[in-house]
Amino acid sequence: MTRRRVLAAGAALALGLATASPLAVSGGPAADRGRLIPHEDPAAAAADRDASLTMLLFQDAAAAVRALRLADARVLLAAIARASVPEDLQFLVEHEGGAIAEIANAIERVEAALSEAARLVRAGRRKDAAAVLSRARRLLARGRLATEDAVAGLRELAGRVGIAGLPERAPARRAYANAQGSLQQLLVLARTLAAAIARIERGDIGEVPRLLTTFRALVQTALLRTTFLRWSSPAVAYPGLPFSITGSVRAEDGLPVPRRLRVALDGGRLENTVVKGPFRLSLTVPSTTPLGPHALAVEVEAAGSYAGAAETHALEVTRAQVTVTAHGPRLAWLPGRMTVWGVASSALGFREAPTVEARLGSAAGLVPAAPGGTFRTSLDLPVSLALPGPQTAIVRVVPAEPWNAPAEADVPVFIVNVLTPGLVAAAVAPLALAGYARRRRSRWGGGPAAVGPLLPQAAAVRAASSEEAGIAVGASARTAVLALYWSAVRRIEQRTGARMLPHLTLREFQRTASHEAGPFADMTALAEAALYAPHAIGPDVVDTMQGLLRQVEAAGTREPS
Amino acid sequence: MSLRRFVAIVAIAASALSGLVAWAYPSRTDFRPPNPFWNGLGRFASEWHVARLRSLAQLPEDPRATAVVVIPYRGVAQADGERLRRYVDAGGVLVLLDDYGFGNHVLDALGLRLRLTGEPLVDPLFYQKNRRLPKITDLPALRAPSTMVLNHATSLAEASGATVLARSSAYSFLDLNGDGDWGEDEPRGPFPVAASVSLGKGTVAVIADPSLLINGTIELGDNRAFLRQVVRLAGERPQVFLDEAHLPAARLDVAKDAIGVAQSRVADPVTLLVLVVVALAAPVGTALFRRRRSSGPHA
Repeated sequence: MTRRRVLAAGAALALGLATASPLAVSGGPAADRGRLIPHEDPAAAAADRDASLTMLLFQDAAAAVRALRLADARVLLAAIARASVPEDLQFLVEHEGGAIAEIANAIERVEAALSEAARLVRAGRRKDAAAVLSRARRLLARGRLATEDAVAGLRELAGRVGIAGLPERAPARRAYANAQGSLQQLLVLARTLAAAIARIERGDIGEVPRLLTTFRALVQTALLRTTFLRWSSPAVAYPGLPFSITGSVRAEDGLPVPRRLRVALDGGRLENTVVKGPFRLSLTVPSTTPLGPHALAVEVEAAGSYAGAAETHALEVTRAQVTVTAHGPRLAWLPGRMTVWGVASSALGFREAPTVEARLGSAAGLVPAAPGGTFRTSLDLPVSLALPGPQTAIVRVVPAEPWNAPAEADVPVFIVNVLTPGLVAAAVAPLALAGYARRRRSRWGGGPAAVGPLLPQAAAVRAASSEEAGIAVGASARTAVLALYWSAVRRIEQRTGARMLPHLTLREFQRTASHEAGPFADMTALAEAALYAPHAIGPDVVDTMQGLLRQVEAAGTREPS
Repeated sequence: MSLRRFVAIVAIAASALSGLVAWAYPSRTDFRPPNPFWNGLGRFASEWHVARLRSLAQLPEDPRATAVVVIPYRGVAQADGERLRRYVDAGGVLVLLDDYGFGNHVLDALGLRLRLTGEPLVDPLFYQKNRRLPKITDLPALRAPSTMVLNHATSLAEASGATVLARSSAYSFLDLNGDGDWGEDEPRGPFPVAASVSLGKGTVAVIADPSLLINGTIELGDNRAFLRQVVRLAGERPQVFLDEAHLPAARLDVAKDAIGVAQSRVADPVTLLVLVVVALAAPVGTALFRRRRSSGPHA
């Protein structure tokens, strides 16, 4: 039984869930799910109680009457009848609309009466003309009364909709002020016309045609409305690149009338169009415009009873900075090829691939950059004596768009000219060879040699020979002669104190150290012959030198120093 | 009774009851024809004898004298866009109603410049109850004076090449910041709210408020008359289709659709005959099977 009860309970639960699930997932009314789909039940919608914006309609209607656009005024007055107004205000709104309509009718009838009177005057029926003029005066008085009624009614309506409690810049409050302004001006017009008609009635009825002619001008002069122009533009623009200006044109009566608008840059026309209220224009500075400050002027043309307006802003025309990063090898050979690569970018981007020029001396490479701004080019470096050493390759990026400025980057490189070491080697090699050959000859006894180099040879010879100036076994005759001479030089140096300095010749030493004649002088002569004579020295000269050396040694105390 | 049999009976009963509830319980989903409440399309669907399309692949091959109503509150696939294009090119009338959904995707697929701004249209002077239910009195398609009432609508843009069917008042504005009050930076009307464009042999009519069709709004002003004029672009008595594939759908609606499909299949004569035969044959077969089992090896 227990098991069955559990099963039954579970079944009932499942049944309940299965039944409720469609209801649970169906969702409530749309409003419960938030604003996924924004609409509301019109039957249950909350009602708007704010009727203050009806002032907009009265503002526009009064302005249309003031502008003598009576057909427009009547359309607006018909719209007032359809406006959504709380029930308790409907009478006031209808009454106000009626008053403004009465003003429009009065103006129309006065103008018609003046036309009729003028016609009668021209026809010579001056009495009839006077009667019609009198009727015009009465119509004008009715119009004035209707205007005063409208002023009072509007004030009443404003009180009922709480205009005074609105912020000063609230559209309804400004519309109310404008509407009252229009009605006041209509009162001024009525008084002006009444005075003009009274003057004619007191004076000459023949003036009626002139009054009719000036009727509309009189109205427009009395009722010229200010135009408010407000607009904004960026501070900077780029040649060839479109930019936008936004703004609005509004007449003091608030009536949305189409107005012609011109935009000029330093007097040159950029745009000429018709706008109605708010506007947004796309302008383009010509590509040839010089960089720097310019004057951007917007002008609204005067139209009928609407005054014109103009305003100028400063506009800086500049170009976007292009950034170039270029790389190259640290070392390049002449002749050879040097590759330069890098990337160029602009804050405004590139619409077309810029041209990249790399230059080093007379070598140049010109390539278009890749779509991402990357570039790679090679410079064929020619054989040149002017380029070796540290150099700078210049990479210049020239964009296709007029709004991007060209840019440059430097790539330092050390140029090694293969010719230069060769030339240096070609200049130095003969000297080196000559020096080498000379050293070799002096070591092995060939040709004349300087005293300086001789002495080391003599010293080397001496070192190789015995202390007694003996001749080294296998040494040449020349070497033996020089060794014997060197021994004599030692004896003389010891005896006289004179030194065989490197700059002294053999003869000079001999003169310094001893007399002109004597065995040392003979030895000096024979040594010179061994050094400079073109022919080889024989063994007999060696024998002679040995004999002279014995004499020098023997005469050591006798020869004066 | 065995446990297995008991559970099977309960499961079948629960499923049947669930299906019955799903079938009977009214939908509350926006723009659904079975929805009888203020946000449903019940009245529109019944008055115009609307045929419901579960997919745009079901569009009629001969679109002449037909109109399809599309309310794209779900994304429109490219294939569906191409189907609509072919449908209109061949002479069909597409009535596209949208405010904040995917209407611009459809317009893009059709290659039209016309666009929905997607910004709320508010009229502080001419409205029904409140300013978000603006009254439209500039109706070239209808004899004056006529009034159409919208419900949280938007407006059209780039309508220069189209025939404007309805325009808001000069005091309407696009409430960009959603505060309901006109700000100086907010565009002021009049704005087109309905327009039609010829495309191929057909026509595309765009209305910037799908709520025009819902039960609560269709009754207001001259909305019915306006809709009639729009649908008449397809002829005097066109067949009207409603695309349900791109409407918002709750699970209840999915269940209802599934039941509807099952119902239509069951209603098929052949299927019905098979079911009747099975229903009659099943008890006889069961009885024969039991008899054979009980007589078994002892026979």
